[in-house]
Amino acid sequence: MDEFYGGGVYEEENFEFPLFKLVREKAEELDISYHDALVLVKPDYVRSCRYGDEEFEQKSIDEFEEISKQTMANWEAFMKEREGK
Amino acid sequence: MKVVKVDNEKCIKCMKCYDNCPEDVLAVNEEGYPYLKYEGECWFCGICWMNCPKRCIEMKLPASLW
Amino acid sequence: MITKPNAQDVKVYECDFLVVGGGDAGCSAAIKAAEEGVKTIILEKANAARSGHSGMGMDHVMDFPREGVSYLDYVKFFMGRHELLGGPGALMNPNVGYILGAKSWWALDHMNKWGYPMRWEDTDDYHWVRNGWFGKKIMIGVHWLDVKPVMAKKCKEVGVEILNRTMMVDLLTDKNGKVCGATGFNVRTGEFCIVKAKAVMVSTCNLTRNYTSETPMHWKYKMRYHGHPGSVSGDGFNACYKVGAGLCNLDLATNWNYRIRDDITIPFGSIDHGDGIRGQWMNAKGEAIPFPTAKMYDEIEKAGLDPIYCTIEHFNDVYQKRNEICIADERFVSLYLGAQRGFNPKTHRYELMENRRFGYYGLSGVYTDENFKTDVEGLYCGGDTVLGLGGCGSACISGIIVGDQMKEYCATAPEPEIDMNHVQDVIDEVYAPLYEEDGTEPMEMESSIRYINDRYVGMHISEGKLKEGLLRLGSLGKHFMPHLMAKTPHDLMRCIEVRNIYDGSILHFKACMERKESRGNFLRNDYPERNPENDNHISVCRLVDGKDTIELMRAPELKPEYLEEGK
Repeated sequence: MDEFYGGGVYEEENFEFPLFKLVREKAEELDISYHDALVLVKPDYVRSCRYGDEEFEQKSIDEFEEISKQTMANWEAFMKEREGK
Repeated sequence: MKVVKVDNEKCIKCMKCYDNCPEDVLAVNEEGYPYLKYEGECWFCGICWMNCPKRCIEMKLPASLW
Repeated sequence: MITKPNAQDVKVYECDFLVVGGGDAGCSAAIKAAEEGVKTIILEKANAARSGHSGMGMDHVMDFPREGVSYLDYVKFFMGRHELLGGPGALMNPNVGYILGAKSWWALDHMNKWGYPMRWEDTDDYHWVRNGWFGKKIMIGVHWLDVKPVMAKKCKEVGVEILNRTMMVDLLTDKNGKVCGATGFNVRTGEFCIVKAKAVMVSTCNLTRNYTSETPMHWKYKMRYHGHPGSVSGDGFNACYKVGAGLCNLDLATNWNYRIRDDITIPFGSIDHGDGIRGQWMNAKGEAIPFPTAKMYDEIEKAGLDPIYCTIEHFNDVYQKRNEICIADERFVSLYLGAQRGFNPKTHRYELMENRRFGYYGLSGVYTDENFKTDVEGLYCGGDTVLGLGGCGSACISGIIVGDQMKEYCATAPEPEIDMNHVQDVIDEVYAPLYEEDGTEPMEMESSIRYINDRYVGMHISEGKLKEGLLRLGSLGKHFMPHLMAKTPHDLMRCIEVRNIYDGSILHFKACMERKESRGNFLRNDYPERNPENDNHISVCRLVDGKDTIELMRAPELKPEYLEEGK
């Protein structure tokens, strides 16, 4: 894409959420519902998500807050320019 | 295009889908299989799809939701 | 072949406590009351095991003040979050906010005892999550995929009688105006019933389906709007209004937000469940922007930089997985449908639609005191039906508080006395569409109502548009409401829903006309300034002697004892 849409990808062929892949495979293996397969695979998936790792979470949040500050500064500059027009 | 399809070959007529649909869009045909009767009212909650013990419900997005 | 019954022949259920709406609030209220020996019935138009906001699941429950957050802090937050929509000042009863905070832990004990799945893996504590508005960890992250089956099972275990597929039509009152039950209609068999009760709690969420949606065929596949299940059609709002309760903030409260163009590929309107890391908003150039208010969106559009998007592409791999967990907990099917569209959240940007209204949430509702008691004797409300309340956790808390009062209330409440003439009138109304040979299908009517709301209220309101819209809505109603057509009980249900959407829309228009100012996201081009005299006032619609009235009521103060205790 050009300058518009910022280069984001609109759609991906054959995309499957990693969690759903695990669910689907478990459901096919045991011939159960997607719901029941989700119940079986989710706990380990949850455990792989570093919940409770406060240092990691704080670092992730701090990185995001930096981006947010810059975003706000950019917006204020944009509005100043608009008001000047 | 049917946005919710039940594969009658696999369906065991447990009726979980029909019993639980929060929008009452399913009905039961003469052969005893559930099917999507009120198509335009389905809001794709997926409750039927996720609970089906034989995974025989397929949901497909139509052009107007694309 | 369904036929219209006579009032004398319909089935009559009797109970102490009737709950209308078997969602989070309704089931919780019923369990609490029944545990205390109160004979309880739930009227639920779907199946309580999978109905309401938590029908597909839920990923978080709010709020439980802790870690330095006092109850007074919580009240400020409770009141403050609606100021975005409604402008500065108190727009609801702060005592309701207080109680939701103060009794949250007591309610949580109940929820644990009843087996609601409140816990997280590998911790004896809860999984505390930052409340996005408040920034504090007072929400509990939960795996509520199966909370509704748990609630329904518990209901049955404690002796609650659940009348599934049975929709409330109207509330019933005795000769003194006290609420003493409701009429019910089975949406599958077409049978009519009466439920007599000493007390009634209405917890049917609020009003949606009265605006168009972001699809070319908004009469198809769009029963659901952001944040709400498709069943929400203002049933309880209409019923409470008709018996004299105050219906509040129907002008301010049309929830403006950006509807994601393809919202069915994500859970209830939320892309980010980042717990401290939020989604990014972007303009069409991919430049990050702050969360845009209505006015900011106008600027972006004028600068030629729309559409705008929301994305979580900046989430690191771990947070991307966390997002999958949240989706699985709240709307599992989105993992299937989103992939069908090829929407990989690591790369996809979700288009946000223009500034549009899409319904009510939180800021509107029935006026209650902090015991969730309305102004009408015998009538309580719970969950999103209550003015100011929102969220599944708060819904459960409100329900448990109501259920807790029922033993004492019902012990001295009079036996219900039903007006059978009124019942017959309701029956005549409900079954009339069966006898209409060449009438209007309910979905066509609903689409027309939505179109009129959209066209004449919208984001930029003016007197001329409101008047035109009200005239048009009135004319539509006059010519077509008496001629709705239905052949099945399901379609009769839709006709009742359309009636509720229609009535709610009329009040919405009237309330908007009455408010001659701009406030929050209520933008009147003909009254662009805010009238500070209206700060701290709630607009209240009430039926008085058969006429719609609207007045501004000063929001109550927080009670002195709460000011003292809540520090």
